[in-house]
Amino acid sequence: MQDFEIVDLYWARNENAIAETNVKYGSYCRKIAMNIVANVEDSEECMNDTYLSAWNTMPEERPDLLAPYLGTITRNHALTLYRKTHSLKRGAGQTALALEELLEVADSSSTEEMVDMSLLSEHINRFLSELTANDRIAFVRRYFYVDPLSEIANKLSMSEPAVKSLLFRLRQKLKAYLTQEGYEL
Amino acid sequence: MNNNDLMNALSGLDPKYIDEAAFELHDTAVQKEKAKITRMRRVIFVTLPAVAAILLTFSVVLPAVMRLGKNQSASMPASDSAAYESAAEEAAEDAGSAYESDMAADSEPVYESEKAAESEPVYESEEAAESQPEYEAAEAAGENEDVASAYDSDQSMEWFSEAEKVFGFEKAVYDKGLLTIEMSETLPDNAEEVDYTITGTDADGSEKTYGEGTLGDILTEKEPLTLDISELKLAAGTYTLSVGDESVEFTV
Repeated sequence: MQDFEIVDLYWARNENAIAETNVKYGSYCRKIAMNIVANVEDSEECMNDTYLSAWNTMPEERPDLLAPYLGTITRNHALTLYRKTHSLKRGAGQTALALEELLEVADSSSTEEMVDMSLLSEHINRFLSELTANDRIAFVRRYFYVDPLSEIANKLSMSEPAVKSLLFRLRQKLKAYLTQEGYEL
Repeated sequence: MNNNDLMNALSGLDPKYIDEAAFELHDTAVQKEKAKITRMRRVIFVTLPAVAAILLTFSVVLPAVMRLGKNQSASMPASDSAAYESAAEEAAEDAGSAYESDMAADSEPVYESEKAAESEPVYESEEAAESQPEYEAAEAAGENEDVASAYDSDQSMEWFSEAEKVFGFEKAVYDKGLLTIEMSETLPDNAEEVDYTITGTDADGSEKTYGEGTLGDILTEKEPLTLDISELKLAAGTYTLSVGDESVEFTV
């Protein structure tokens, strides 16, 4: 089924929308959830939350690309669940590692400055637009999808140290870019 | 802003970037394209110079070798026996028997026909006995050497200038003994043989060399170019990595 047909089902309040979404994007969203929460039960909870959010936001929303839309919802639910379960201790999974790596970019502990999320997202998008496709995919797979380095290396036909080195350079570039845009890092 | 803010902000990524990286939904063609570009660069920077070298060999070296061969066989034309006989008589008058026998022995490998082998040498004087073909052979050999050395130097200069062009150092970042270098070009296949030096400024302001060798000694990754210089145990400061005529600064 095409994306627009599935979105039409949501708009028509047809319950088949959830079933069709599960068929087409279930494994995709489940992977995102598993990468972040690293737990089958928690990932299923994320999936249920994702379908509920999709049902509640469509209509109103009519996304052109359903995969990124659903993937983002899943990611947000997974991160919320991750923070709930890992608030008191540092986790050892990929999410903790990715967060640790992002500390190199921004580690300001100041609580006074409220960050405008949409503006920050816009800056990150602009940063990504200047990268090569290969670099951008590596960055997105690591920090959006929270893939382990070995999987990224396998998919991009690179060695793990090369991916690690690449991500290190990209984080440095992002830091320099955000500093230039006026962020206190 | 902290890492959690960044993590949250990444949820606002442009959907086209999320979709681009969605391996689960479609194959990415990025690496194939990159492989195509790498193959193209390999064709331009390796195959074309090799083809040029082969063409140069056939157009310059082989004709010179063929000229050498022609001169050796053309030294004693078989047809004009009368001229040989008169020249031979003159030579016999000037030289002693020892000379005649020596020249006969020497001329045997030179002359191909039986008549030429029996006759007195063609050369009128002893200086001429240091023969035309030998002179021409020496000249041709000299030419070959010149061509070969010119070819070699052209090749090495071509490679060297190629090295100048293909590294394209842009930035170097030092972290825990590893130096990661951004380049605008693809690393050539024989980069491991290229010499490098790492220099810095001493406390008294003079330039000091902290490390040198071939890239192969310290190369750990080719893409990105990563060099392991932990053994140098560099103190905090600014250093310069020089490879060929290219250099890039980095800070420890």
